[in-house]
Amino acid sequence: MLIKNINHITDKIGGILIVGEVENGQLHPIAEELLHKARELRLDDELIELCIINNKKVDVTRLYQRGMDICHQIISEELTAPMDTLWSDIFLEIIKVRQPKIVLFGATNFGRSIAPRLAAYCKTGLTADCTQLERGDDGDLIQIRPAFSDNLLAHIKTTTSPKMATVRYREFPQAEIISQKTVANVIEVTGNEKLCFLSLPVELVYTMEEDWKSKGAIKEFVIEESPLGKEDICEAQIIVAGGAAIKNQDDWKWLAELASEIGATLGASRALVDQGLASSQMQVGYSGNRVKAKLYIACGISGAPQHLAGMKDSSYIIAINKDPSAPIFQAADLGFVGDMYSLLPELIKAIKEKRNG
Amino acid sequence: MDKLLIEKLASIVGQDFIIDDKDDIKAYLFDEVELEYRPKACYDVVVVKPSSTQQISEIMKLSNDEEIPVVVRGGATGLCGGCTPVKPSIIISMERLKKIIEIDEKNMVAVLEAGVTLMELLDALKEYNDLSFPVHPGDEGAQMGGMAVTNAAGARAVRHGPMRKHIQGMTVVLNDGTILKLGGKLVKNNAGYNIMQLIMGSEGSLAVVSEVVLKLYPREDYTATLVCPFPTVEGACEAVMDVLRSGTIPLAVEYMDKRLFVDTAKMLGLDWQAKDGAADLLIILSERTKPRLMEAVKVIDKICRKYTKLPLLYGEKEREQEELLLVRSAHYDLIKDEICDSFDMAVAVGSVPDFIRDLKKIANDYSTYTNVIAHIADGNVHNDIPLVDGKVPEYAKEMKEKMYECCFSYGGTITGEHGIGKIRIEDLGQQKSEREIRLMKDLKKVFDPKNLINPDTVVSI
Amino acid sequence: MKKILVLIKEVPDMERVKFDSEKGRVDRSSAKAEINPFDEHAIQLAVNICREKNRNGESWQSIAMTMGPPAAEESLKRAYSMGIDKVILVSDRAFGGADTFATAKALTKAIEKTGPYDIILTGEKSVDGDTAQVGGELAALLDIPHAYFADHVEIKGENILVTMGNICGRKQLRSMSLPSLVSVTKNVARPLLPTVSRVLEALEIQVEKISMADLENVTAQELGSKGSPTRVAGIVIPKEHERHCKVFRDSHTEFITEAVKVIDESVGLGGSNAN
Repeated sequence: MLIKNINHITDKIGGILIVGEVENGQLHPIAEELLHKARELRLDDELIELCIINNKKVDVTRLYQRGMDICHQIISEELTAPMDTLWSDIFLEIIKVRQPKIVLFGATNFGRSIAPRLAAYCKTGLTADCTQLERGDDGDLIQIRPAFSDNLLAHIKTTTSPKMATVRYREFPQAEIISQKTVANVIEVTGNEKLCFLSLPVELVYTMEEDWKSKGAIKEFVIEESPLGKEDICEAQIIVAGGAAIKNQDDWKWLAELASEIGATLGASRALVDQGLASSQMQVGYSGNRVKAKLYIACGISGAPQHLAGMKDSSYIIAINKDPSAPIFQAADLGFVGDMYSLLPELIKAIKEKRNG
Repeated sequence: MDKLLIEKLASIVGQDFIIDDKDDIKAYLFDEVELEYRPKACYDVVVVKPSSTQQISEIMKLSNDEEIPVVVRGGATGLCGGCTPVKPSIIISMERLKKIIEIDEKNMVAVLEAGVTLMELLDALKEYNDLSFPVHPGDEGAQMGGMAVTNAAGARAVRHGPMRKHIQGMTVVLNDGTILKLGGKLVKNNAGYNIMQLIMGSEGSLAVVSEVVLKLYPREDYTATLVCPFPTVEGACEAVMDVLRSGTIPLAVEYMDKRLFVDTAKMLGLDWQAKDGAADLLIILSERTKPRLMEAVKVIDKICRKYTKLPLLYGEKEREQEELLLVRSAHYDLIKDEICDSFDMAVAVGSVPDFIRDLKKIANDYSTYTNVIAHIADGNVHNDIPLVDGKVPEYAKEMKEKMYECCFSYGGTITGEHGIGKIRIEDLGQQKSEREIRLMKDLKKVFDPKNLINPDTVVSI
Repeated sequence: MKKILVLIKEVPDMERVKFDSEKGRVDRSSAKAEINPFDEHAIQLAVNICREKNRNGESWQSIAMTMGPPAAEESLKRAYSMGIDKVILVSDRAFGGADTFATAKALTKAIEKTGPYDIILTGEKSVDGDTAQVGGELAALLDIPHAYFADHVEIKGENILVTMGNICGRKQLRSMSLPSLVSVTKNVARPLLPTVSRVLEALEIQVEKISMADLENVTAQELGSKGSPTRVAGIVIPKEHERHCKVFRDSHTEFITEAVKVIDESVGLGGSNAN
């Protein structure tokens, strides 16, 4: 065993386990989306549990307020940067003890990397990158996932246990608040006594066995961590793109503000790249970058075939253009005919207002 | 522009499809000609966007009655200023005539409105397992009507020839608004003068094409692009002629000066893999089956081996081939700021090595250089005159004339595919006899007695 | 001699493949098969490592393996033309219909049979299944470490150094002891064009074949569809969504209300239910 006294946690097994991810000391927001889904999926009195590994305790108050029952926190000085083998070994111990029916991961790089290893350890099935989860009439989990570049949706059932799935980020809303409770019943798992969860939510804090490093040869270690590089526009989920209506560098101002407001990457039509008003990394089009965003906001782009070919596969397209006959409107879901420079400041204001409630 | 005229146009196409704002019309004035050589555009224009042949007919009637010229604008991918208005005009933008009227699988023809772009046609054909259209002028934003009236060609002409070989019928609107159907789905049609063939290559100066009937071909699914580096230009040319004689006809054979391949790739953030040699060919093969493709590769490999020991490279995946072609086509971005005039001369294939050598020599005589890019198997050579200190050199005109003379000495033409448009009218006089040009002018007057259809294009009345 | 195994998958050309929304299936005859584009980067990496090591007097060999129907030989020949030294086809009816876990099990046995290998490389994911699971499952079954999303790979003695973009919001440089499995992104190496002579040579090579009968310590029950813990209960092919643009003119307010709603759905602006 790697986790100290883990065997004593035996109360109420068979719930839904969320494998959490800690990003710069904070719980990754996908955990709240998984919690939202877990609450929908839960049958009868199944417990919803979260498991995280970190070098210090992570504040998960928001999740208690949103209906999470148990949080397992495995804490050790040395558990800073995630490694697949060690992390899987630790999560496996929690799974063995808690025997969840369903295990959910975020389909982030972390989740998609660790989940297959853990699933193979459990000799169970895993479904990748789900966009929907349902429970059938028989209580069986139906996992719905896109394949073939989102051209089809497969409904997948797992015949083994636990049923494991990674879930696409920003696919489900975050769980809604149901209680103002800010403190959980915290139990430091140190002694040998069997533990009962008398009042929920409960936070179980574990340490590692003193000799964990000697258990099994360590085959991997992290040499260093560093900040992320720049985002590739082809991978961007949200894009704000500018076109011929941009006449000089200053005109980017409102687009840049809109982009930063909604976490979007900036894109450009070929005309702007040709005129040196945008870099070729920003160019969206058949001969530039072909993107497939969740939301594509085209500002002052008329929609030349070249451009449309590079962005038409985006899920939702908003077009803002002065010319009512611009072809971009044929490709868009929502359009505004008019001057973008008078529209954008108001749009940004409205977004800010919405965010601030 | 006269308000009353704009109102009349609006009553034909609707207010949404009129553009008369000074700023906005700028996007409707030019094609892809180098800045230095653009015809001087007239800004006193109004843009209309009709959606049917009928609307075009009404616009033409109006033009005829009010005696105001019309200029048709397609994809604006031309290279001779054809769609630039030089007089106060109505610009007819064809972007809304996008309907794919019919794809007739049995007869293997497509009936298309003139504003359908090549990209849209190719996209539509993806739905049909076995049909394709081979002519590819490079920019898929080109529209069918534009490709027809300019008799577009491009790299693939080696096997398929230019547009005029592939059009079986068209609907045209004459100067007075009369709608005329020419040809049809017929393969053979020998009834009288072929007016349709006359309109092809007329560069929008005789009538407005609103629909075309296009010949389709069985799709060739197995394609490859070979990068063939040679130690000398002559060796590359010899190999091309051997290939053409071998009976294995490539889809395209493209030559470009080595430094253009290398530097364009670098500009695009790529690496030109053929490091050695002095002259690279791109040979594009296209066959119905894999074994046939491999047979063709073997033939080409064997021929090239006679003239080069350098390894040939094999691009097979769509991405790889697209990338190679991108390097080929993006060279223009590399040199566009360093050149002032670029040419489109063509000579017999056998004369290409001598012709390229002579062009380089002429440039050398002026202590400058000339970039050579060629559809080499068609004898179509694109070269240019570089700017000196950012300015058009004094000798530019003289150098051009020398290059033309050299071209004529090989029995060549000043334009293999781009056309005369508005920028080579004077040059045409060097190549053609006065009698032939007079005949062209007379033809123009028959179609357009008031000189209102894209005036000052091909010939000046 | 050190060996690098590249696991590749044959997939339909995604630019062309068509879907039958009535029958809910993929029309595989509509497109040619090709090597999963991500895997070509893994192939090039293996070829690059071997070339560099062999140039320095070491002895390294690259091997490509795929599990698939007999026709997948074509993809292996393509791998050979790209510079892979040896190719292996794992093919048997008993392997058919496998999910990722059953695929990993069959590959584990094929690797035990033909190995050992010092490095196993895979592409980031396949463009058809898009699961990115076989690598991790395989590493678990082989009991070797793995790393995903590798942007850069370097061999240092008996260790492999892997740079990964965005693991928990950070770039990570990880060292793993050999043997290890690494799943690589397209940043790791740029696939080069094969030479024509190597392409022609590939037409003539013999492909090593592994079938059920060659595998040890495993029964057909454990592999293929029978050995798969997941099954596809149904496939829905969404009809290509036609866009009907809702256009607003002149008045900002209505458009902004609509746009904010859409943006909120996409990025979650929080607002009323945030806390």
